[in-house]
Amino acid sequence: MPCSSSVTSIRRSLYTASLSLLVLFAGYALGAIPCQDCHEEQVAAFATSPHAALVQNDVKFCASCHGDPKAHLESAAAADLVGKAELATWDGEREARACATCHEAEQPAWRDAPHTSEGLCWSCHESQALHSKRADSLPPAKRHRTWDLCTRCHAEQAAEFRMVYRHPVESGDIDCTDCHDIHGKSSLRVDLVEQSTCLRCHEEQKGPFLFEHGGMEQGCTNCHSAHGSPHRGQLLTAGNGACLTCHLQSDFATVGKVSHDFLLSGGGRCWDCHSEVHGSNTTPDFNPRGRR
Amino acid sequence: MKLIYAIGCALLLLAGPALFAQTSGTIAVGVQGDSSSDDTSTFKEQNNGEDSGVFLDLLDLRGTGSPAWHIDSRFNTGGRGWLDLEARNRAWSGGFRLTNTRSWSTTSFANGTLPSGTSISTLVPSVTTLDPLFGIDEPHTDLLRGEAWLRRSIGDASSVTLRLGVRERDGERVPNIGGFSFSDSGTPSFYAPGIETIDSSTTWGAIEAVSSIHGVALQLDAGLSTSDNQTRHDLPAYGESGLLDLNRWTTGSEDDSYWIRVDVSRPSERVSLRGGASWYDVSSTPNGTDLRVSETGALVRDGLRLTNGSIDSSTGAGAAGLTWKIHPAVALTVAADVRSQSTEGSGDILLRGTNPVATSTDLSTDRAGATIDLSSRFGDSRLRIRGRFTTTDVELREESSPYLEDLERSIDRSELRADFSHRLSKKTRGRAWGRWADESGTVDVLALYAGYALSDWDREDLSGGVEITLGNGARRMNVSVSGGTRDLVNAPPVFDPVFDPSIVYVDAEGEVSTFRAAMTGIWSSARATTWGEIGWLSNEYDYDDVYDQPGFAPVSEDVEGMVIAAGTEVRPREGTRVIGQIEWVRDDQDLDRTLTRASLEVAQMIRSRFELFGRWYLGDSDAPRSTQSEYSVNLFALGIRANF
Repeated sequence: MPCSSSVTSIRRSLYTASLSLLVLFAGYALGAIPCQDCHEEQVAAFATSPHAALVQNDVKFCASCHGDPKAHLESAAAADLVGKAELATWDGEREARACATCHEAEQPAWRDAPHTSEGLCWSCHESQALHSKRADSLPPAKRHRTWDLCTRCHAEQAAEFRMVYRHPVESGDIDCTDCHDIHGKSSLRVDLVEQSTCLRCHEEQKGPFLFEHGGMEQGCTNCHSAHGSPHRGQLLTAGNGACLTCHLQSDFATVGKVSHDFLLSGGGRCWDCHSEVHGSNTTPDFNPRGRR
Repeated sequence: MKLIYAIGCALLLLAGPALFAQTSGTIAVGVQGDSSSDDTSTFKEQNNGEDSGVFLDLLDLRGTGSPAWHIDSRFNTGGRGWLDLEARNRAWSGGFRLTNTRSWSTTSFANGTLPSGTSISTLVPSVTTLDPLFGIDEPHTDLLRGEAWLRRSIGDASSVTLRLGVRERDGERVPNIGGFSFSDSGTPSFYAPGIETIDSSTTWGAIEAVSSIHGVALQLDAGLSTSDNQTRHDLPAYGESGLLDLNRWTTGSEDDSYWIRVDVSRPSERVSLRGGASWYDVSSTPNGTDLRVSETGALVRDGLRLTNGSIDSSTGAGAAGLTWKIHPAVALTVAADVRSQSTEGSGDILLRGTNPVATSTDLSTDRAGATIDLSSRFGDSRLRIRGRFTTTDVELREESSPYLEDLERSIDRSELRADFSHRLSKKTRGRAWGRWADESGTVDVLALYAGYALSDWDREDLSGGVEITLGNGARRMNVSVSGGTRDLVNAPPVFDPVFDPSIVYVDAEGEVSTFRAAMTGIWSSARATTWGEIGWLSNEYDYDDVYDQPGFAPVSEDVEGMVIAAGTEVRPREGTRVIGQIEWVRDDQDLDRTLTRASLEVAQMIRSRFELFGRWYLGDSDAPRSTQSEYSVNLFALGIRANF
């Protein structure tokens, strides 16, 4: 009898184990067994993350990085998952592929975005979405939209935004992503309107005008510094240097049919007279007061 | 602003208690007072319009239920700020993003901006402060941008997104142009600040669709837009004894446009194909006037009026390319693109109220480009070499009697860029890049009457830089150094009529050089976080060899600038935080200006969820060459922050 009892006990254990595995497999197949049943601590770290709801209800979310949990559910061995050490060896493309498991439809051209090839999904999103709390490592004064994230790497741009005349990015009124397509939206250079980035806000300069300024073909940054400048209007120069890049000529004082010596000797700037420099509907020389 | 607050309050009320059931976040509000001296208008122009009043320091709420949602908002005392709302569940996501950017203008013109440092007011009679005749003490414009979107995800790789947006700019600003006029004695008068009044709005809607069919990814974007942009300039003309009249000119248009864009890609392990095409069309009704009016706005002298204006412009573009993985670590991309833009416009310009002059514009621009990109990764190193060539043909014919310009322009541009990055150690990365570009333009003037046209030109750019990143996450330092030069050669332009036939023009040469160095670093521990930034810029325009006219203000420029910023957040004991930040900006050589911004905040927890904070902000400008731009402003704020 003792022998029979042992056999029964073993059978019971086998049944229980099989049933458990069956439930686990069924649960996994239905996506109903959350990883938090065992990994409570890791899941809790997502409490303030946009992924909080997903991590509690969807095995697929964890699997996108840690791999198919099928073997892990059978063995419970850590080696059967993609662990921290292996994740650290992933290149940017692999990182991005993991994120694209769910986000491909939002960022369809992520493969072509410069940040993707550099492997930067987690450089920006780690503190907000992965196994840590929110951006506690940054001082509150820098927690303005994406400014704090972008300036971690882009030191030159950070310095430009400290200049006297700058776009209000540090304060958060303008976001880096307002101008820069960080995740890649269009896969090729088929933008319809040149300089469209600037003209999303500066639509008064968009045109079309009856008299277009050829300089607009060169782009806004031919005359303006996009991030910041020591000069009013975020111009590249204090004086006429930006205009002279194209209009530089010998015997400068006789630009056009008018002697400009008289006008410029007092420190006048080109746009004091040619004020409709972005384009005009009345004068081909962009000097509305000169034609009447 | 009232609209923004109303929307914000409505959202919070609508969200209701259900939203807050699984909510965490922060709300902080405060009240601010100021003490200032000298030119506070320049302070506002340079410091985001900070003023006395109530402010929303932070509204950051996050719901972690289903749908997950996030509200992020901040508005300063000047009325600038944003409200972002986003919500999503498994299949649906939507959001609303509203930003009000208030730009303030100085009411005085700096009179010392000559490159030589000479005060302009010593050269010509001028008025450097905004005349009270405009009745505007604090000129500012509001740029309101709003966008709402709703996305339905279908499976993992398909979605449809509807976007609706508005953009409005209203207000006044002091334009960066001089009120050019002749005084009674015939002496030119500059730098009488004027007022630019802007009233423009745009409404747009677009639909985006993303899908993947049999391994082919499709992306479609189509939209409509309508806009009305009107700008009016009023610049006073002063005589020896006072105001003569106002130069008033307006420019504007009413535009309707639509666009459609399709992108297709077929990614694969070996050869990936991509292609895209787009079309943009705008129909515009332009307007414009140029008058002289009295102080009361009565017409003094009629000038120019555009009537019956009409412009149609369309742009088509297409591109195709393939990426071939020659080796698991080497990828070669070859792509070609074309773009064609055509603009036709016409109208009648009335000169002095009569004599309609038929005016027409016919502009076409055709561009073709080719790109070759070699990307490789070996071990911890990445090398990317990219070459691009474009050729652009422009045909332009503008006519507005007696003016006529008919020309053909051809621009060839070649560019080569190399980018090398290497992971030196687990926490150290280095990067070096170099870029060369050459642009040459040839101009064929077919006809020119009463005009001025550029002639051939050539530009060569050479630039490069190195960058090192140490550490990652909360302990990181990034250092970069870069520089570049641009050599210019411009052939003499073409004039009609020729001013002085005795002058023989030759090619003009110039050089522009820019050098930069920057560093940013952050160091964080359990009780303190400290960050710092340093930036240095040298910008030189060298046109010295071009001419030597006696009495001429030098055109060559040399500006050097340095910015130093540092900040810290210290938690000396449980419940207490001290946050300090300082920025020091110095502009040198042809400029002479020092700007200091500093802030200090002390925050103390008073209960488990509430924190009181006091904040001091200093803005100080020292500008010896334009003392009208100097100011010193102190702002003091008290507020409460709730965390839950």
